[in-house]
Amino acid sequence: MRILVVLLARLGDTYLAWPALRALRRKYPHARIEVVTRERFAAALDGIGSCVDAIHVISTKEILEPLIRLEAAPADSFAAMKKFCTSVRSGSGFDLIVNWSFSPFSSYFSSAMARPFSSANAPAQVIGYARTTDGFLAIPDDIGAYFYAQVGVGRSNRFHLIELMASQLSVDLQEDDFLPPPRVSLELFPDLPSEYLVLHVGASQADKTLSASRWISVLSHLRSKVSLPCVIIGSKEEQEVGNTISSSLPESQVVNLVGRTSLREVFALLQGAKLLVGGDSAPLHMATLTSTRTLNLSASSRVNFWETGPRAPGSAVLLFESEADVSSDQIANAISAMINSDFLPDGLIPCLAGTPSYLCETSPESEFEWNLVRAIYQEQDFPALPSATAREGLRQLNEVNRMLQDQLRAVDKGVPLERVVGLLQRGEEIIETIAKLVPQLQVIVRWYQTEKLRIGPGTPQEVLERTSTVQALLQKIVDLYMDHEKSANKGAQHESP
Amino acid sequence: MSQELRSFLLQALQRLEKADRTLESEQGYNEDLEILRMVIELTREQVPIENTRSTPRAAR
Repeated sequence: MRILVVLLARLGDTYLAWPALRALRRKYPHARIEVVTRERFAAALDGIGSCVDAIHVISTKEILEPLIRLEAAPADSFAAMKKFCTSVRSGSGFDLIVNWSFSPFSSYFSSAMARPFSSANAPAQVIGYARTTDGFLAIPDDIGAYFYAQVGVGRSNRFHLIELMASQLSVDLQEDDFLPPPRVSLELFPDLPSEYLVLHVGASQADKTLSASRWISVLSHLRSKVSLPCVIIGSKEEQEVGNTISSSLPESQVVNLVGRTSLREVFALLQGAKLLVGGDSAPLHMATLTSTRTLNLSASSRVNFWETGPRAPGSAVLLFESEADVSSDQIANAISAMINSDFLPDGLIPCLAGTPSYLCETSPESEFEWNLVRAIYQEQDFPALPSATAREGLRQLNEVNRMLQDQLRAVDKGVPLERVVGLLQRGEEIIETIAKLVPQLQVIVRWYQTEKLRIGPGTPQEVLERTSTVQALLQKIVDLYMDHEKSANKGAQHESP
Repeated sequence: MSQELRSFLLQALQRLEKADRTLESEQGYNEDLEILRMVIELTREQVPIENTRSTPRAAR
């Protein structure tokens, strides 16, 4: 068996995939497991061990370089891409493609890799995004569809991405799936103190971490609370930030290793650290593998901590909208509390074992949306509608969906599609508008729209049948609420004098 | 990314999208178009801009 895992996302996402990659090996002990990654993220697979047999590296530069010549040569880019695809598929073709990249490029690439190697072979099974035979997005697996509909910043998902990846493979994760690579020596850093905390001062996007001036302020506040020195880390591109921070603080407080460590050395640093402090970035996911307690400074406008937060025992999340919403003293107090005791102060969101992985009080609307997710995807009870607006939205959804079902029945009875297509399109537009006006119903609408998207190419009758099935499923959800409302109204009438 | 590089890539993207439309109308969706779309998407990843997506059902 030959398996290809498409891992084209960033460094942090690659580390998030480590536990599931190990579980994949456990599920298929004799398979040849290959990974495709980008040149600049390939180092994040260093040390993963025997769960990966081969790594294919796509060079974006090599493929796109012909496009930026003075005399651009798109045909050369096309040829380079074709050559890369052929080289990855060389040999016998794949039996299973696991696409954990969730991007348009990866969906086309996965489809290309899934194509049968010869007419005697069947196409590979794809988990994650692919393309249908007419080039539209295909999401063959239910977890992939869940990802498309509900995962991301501002969405209602509370499952951690590590769990979602494992669910896509239908595997249970074990403790030893969360291990770092073999430890490398840190002898290159003789100034390293015996006890320290690590601050990751960089991030892939500037607003996912604190500014240099804010880090300086936090460390100034921390000086009177914590005696441990801080090792600051980051990438080569962030060296200026590191220099700004270290030059503003006493030498005894800061060891500046920004831009000086390899990823394997970061693992070793984390293994010796009392605490990691940083935004939602690669070191945080590395700390999950080293079981290093982490304080995640989470900017809610950029990340969803439920799905990419820290997982090491005793970790916590300090949630804020943007840097301006949290004081330096607040951050310093949180660091101090986590260094000096096992208890977390108020205001921090503790990381727990299991799913969801965090204990956090949220708004009634947010609770409703999460319970709606669990009702639709996990067959839990549907939650009561939280507001009159949501009830009105549901009534509108009921009317539109009934209209759509009427039109589909008419087509089934022989009315030409052209006569109803305008109404069908208008219905979809109204559903989209309902979701915009009533955010609490977005979970239902996103589920519905994703299921509609998953209707692949087929004969008109097949497409009609699949569409009718999705509308019927939507009606089932809507009816649950409408029936409940009817009985509630009846009860109210009986009670009235 | 420098303005010059961005401008090169945007021009390339326009040409690639034109080729995409031509190929699709002439041959429909096939392996060549699939490869072309990979080049297009890889280019788009380098220059994240709005309103360049021609695929009606795009992945996020």
